[in-house]
Amino acid sequence: MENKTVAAETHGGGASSALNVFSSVRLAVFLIAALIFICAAGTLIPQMKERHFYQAYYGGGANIIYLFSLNDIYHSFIFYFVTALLAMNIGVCSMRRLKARLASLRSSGGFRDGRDISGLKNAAAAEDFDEGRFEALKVRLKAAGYALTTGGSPGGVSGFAESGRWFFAGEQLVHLSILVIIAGTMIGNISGYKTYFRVYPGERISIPSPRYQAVRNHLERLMAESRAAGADPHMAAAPLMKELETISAGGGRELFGLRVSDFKTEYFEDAAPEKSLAGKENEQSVKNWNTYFTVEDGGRDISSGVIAVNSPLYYKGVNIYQSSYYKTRDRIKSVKIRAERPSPVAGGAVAAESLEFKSIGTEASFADGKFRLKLVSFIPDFAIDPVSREIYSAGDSPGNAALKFSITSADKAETDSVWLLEISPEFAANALRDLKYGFNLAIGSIETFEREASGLQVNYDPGVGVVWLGCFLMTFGLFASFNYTHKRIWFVYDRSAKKISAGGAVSKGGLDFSKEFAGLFGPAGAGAKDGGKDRE
Amino acid sequence: MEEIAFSTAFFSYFICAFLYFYILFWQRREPGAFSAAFLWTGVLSQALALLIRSQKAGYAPMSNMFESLSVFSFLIVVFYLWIEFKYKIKSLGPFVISMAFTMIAIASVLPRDIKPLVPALQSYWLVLHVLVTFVGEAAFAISYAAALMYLITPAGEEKNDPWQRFHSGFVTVNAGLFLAVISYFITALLIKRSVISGDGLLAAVPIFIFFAGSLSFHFAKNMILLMMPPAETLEDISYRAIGFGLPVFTLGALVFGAIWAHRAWGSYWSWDPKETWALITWFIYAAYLHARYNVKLKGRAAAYINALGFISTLFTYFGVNYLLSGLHSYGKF
Repeated sequence: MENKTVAAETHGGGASSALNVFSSVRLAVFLIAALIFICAAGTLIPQMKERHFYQAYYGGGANIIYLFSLNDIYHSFIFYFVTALLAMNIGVCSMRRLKARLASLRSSGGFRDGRDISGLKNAAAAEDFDEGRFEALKVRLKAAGYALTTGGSPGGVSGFAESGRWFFAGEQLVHLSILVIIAGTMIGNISGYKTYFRVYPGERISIPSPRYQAVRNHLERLMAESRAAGADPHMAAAPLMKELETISAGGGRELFGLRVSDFKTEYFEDAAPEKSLAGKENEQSVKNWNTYFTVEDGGRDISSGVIAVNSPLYYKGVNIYQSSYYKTRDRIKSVKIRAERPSPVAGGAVAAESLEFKSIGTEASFADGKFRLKLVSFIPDFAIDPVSREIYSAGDSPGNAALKFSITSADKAETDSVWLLEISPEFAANALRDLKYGFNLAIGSIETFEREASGLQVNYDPGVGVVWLGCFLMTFGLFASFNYTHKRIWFVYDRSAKKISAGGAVSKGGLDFSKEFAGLFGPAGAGAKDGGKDRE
Repeated sequence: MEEIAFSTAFFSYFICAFLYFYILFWQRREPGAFSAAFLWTGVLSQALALLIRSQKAGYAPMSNMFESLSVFSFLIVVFYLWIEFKYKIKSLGPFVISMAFTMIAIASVLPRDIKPLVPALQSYWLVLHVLVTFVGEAAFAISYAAALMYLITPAGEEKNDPWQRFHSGFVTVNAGLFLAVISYFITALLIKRSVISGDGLLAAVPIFIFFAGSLSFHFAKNMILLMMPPAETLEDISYRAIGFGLPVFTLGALVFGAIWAHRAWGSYWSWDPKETWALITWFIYAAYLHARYNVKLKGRAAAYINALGFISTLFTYFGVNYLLSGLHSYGKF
């Protein structure tokens, strides 16, 4: 960032004053402090939780959290604002500093007279300095990496030795790297996408093209906003739905396909079993999760392999990661239902029949064929969305298992349907009573298949290469700026008096330079003195 | 064998720290050779313990808190040896070796079972990311020690600073806290209690040691001053250690961490608490260097920013693991 000297050189009109503000170190330090505060707040306030979580946790403070978007602080206006200001600050002061450094480079060379030299912090004078010692000095300066320029002065030689002339390239690279990283992140945010798939062995997933996914993400955002505003989401989404259809019709929906032939959890063979997180049962340690895939593109199989943790698939700019795994019990193996009909005679026995269904779509009849039941759907963990009233499964394994049956009766033209809930049998009883069928249905047993599914994360981030470039520039720039110092030595050698006067300046690392300087010009460091200017 | 090597390192560092303090307080140079011998014994034993553990486990010993603390303390000592060799000063020793001993003392009471690595950690990036980060943080530790020493040995005009009592008090509290932390874990070790057992003795001993240690340090610091290196040297060490540590920390924690996260989690940055606090640490040291370069910030103000940077480093390492949850949860035990 800009230093006081450079800022002072450029004061002037309104635009210049604004630039001075933007390039000030104080602003930079303030913005860095603000970012530290924002980042720290983001680790202390739980992020991206539901609204009711903040209300339960913070009470009235939840309103403040929402007002300043503290629930999603890293995507909040204030975070973007501070980051943008810092980027501007870095950009402006880098340009101005570069200009000042280049100007300084042009004017810093050349010789100095004895009085100037003696005013430097590192200054020395040596007597009995004959031609032999002078030649030896030149050799030592060159060996130490100095570029040496000498010229004639009245009665002797003036010299200027310089090392690390481009020392400021490091700091410029660091500043540039921050801008490059921000640019890479923005490219990724604007043009990239991230989506997840749950894939069972034998299934094929369609990896969306960036264009299709961008429209889809836009659509989902729009629908969510419409819902939140109480509007009809489908109305607002209609143009985008049409656009998605157009992309699909043009064959632009899919980038490529991924066929998953198998998914396996691999365990350590020799390792001692360890306790589960619940600490109840022993289980083997997982070595990895492996998804066996084949890439299909343009109707052809392109490649096959395994996606595992730390071993993603990279194809057509898309990375596919082993993100999670699922053990599900959401597919019917066998369902037994009890159909109960009360006796027509008061106090008579209840007639009960057991019906079995092996899969969705299977049918069974009872009461001598008078009623026919068809298993329509199975929800492992029945739940209803309180807003949309849509039915969904809260989990992958039976919790509040629910079965939907359609009922056909010889006495009724229309078909009815009924939900049977495992933990609320009265739900079906009430519904059937209302339908006046004269029987009740109850769940006897539900058996499910256990299946493993692979959780794959699909990322398309065209900015990631730019981010890596920024990381490289930052690391290189930091190493360069600390290990590359600008050292300058001026001297005047009086041949007739056999006397040399020398002075030096360094951009940083003053102690080391003082030692080096003393080694070059002073007998065991004598001659170096305190005071004066030692920094540029 | 690993146990013997680890215990040898533990006791060597303890004796070495004791000898360093003895040299510092009583201005005696005779035990210097013994302290060096114990220091080298400690560092070599610890290297051996880490090598044996790597061989037994089949992976670099950086997968849990015990292993990472061992590596961190080892690197702090290695970095200190380099500083001692370069600057020919031993007076940083009491502070730095006490810090390394604190780490190894904490490690000694943590679970040290060798467990198979979780899938996310099965990568060569584990070594690159963690080891390089610790090299940077070891440099920060040295810088912090030099900054604390600087605060009690002001240079130039700072010698007449009316706030000198405050600065000395800050260092005294730091010293007291270190002694309290050491005593906490040694007590846990001696009474064979878990470090999180909530035992009354585990609370009483560190509190007593904190006050006793702070008072002792307060009265002894004038004796320490006699053996201190020049303030300019301390400033130089402090700055140079950050000058070395920040690029290395950037490479290890942020760059290698981002590359590994991109490879394992599919996102180079997730605003995970560990990532975020590493970034905060980076910001603090970046602010330090900016202020130093551009407004020529030196002396005490720089020393305080430096201390803040190391406190942030420690919070990133310990605080995030135990107080905040996130993707780096395997670093807890």
